Amino acid sequence: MANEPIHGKGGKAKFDTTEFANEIRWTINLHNTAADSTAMHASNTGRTRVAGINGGTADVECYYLADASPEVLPGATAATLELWRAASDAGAGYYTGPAKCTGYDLGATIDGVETITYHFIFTDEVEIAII
Amino acid sequence: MGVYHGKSAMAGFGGDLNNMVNFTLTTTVEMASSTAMGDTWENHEYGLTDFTITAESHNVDALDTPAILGTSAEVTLDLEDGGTDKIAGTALLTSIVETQPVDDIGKITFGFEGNDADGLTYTIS
Repeated sequence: MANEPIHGKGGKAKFDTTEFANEIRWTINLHNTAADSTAMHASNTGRTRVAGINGGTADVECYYLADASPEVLPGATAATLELWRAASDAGAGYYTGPAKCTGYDLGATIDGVETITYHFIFTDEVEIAII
Repeated sequence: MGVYHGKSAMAGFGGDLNNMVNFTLTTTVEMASSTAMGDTWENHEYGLTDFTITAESHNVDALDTPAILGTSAEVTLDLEDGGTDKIAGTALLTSIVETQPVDDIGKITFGFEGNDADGLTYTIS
């Protein structure tokens, strides 16, 4: 049903054929860098802007998978990144777009499970696919 | 003196945005210094107004966020349910951040930049 809030417990992320293990969070950041189009005019009160080109990045955070190398390495061949709102819900939709892995952060603390956060940058249009 | 409870507020971009949880409007006026020698205090002249809006909603299914990125429409901030008291202005949607965590409902944060030569309008009854 459209417009229903979605709990993240059913989400997933996938890069090329790799479905990330032990995922705890994904984040997508889409942006458009606007250009200021404000010109002098006696009646102007507020600034105006014109849309630029869309761009986007994404992060996928996981508990580090034991006995394995990071699932995606920085500089890996560009591939499709999928970010699913709810893998079991056909109508929820998932982000999909070509992306490159720009790095990862690995963290370990004395009182928690080790984590790894993969960073991606989209290299072309990102879409929402609804099954 | 009456107040508004935020539970009755709403934000819209074109149509209503669904499952909103909060929004923030930040307004500014540029100031140009006109202080000259001999003044006893700094002088400033009003310049252009501008605004930014951040609005957060629960993640909702079937919402096509990439399709609205970079589009311009009227943003309406209803201060109370029913929409009789509101602040509105045309803005450009310049950022969308969506997060899906394992332990909570997902969230979407929309970022808007002002795109209105006439500035914000206030409808207060």
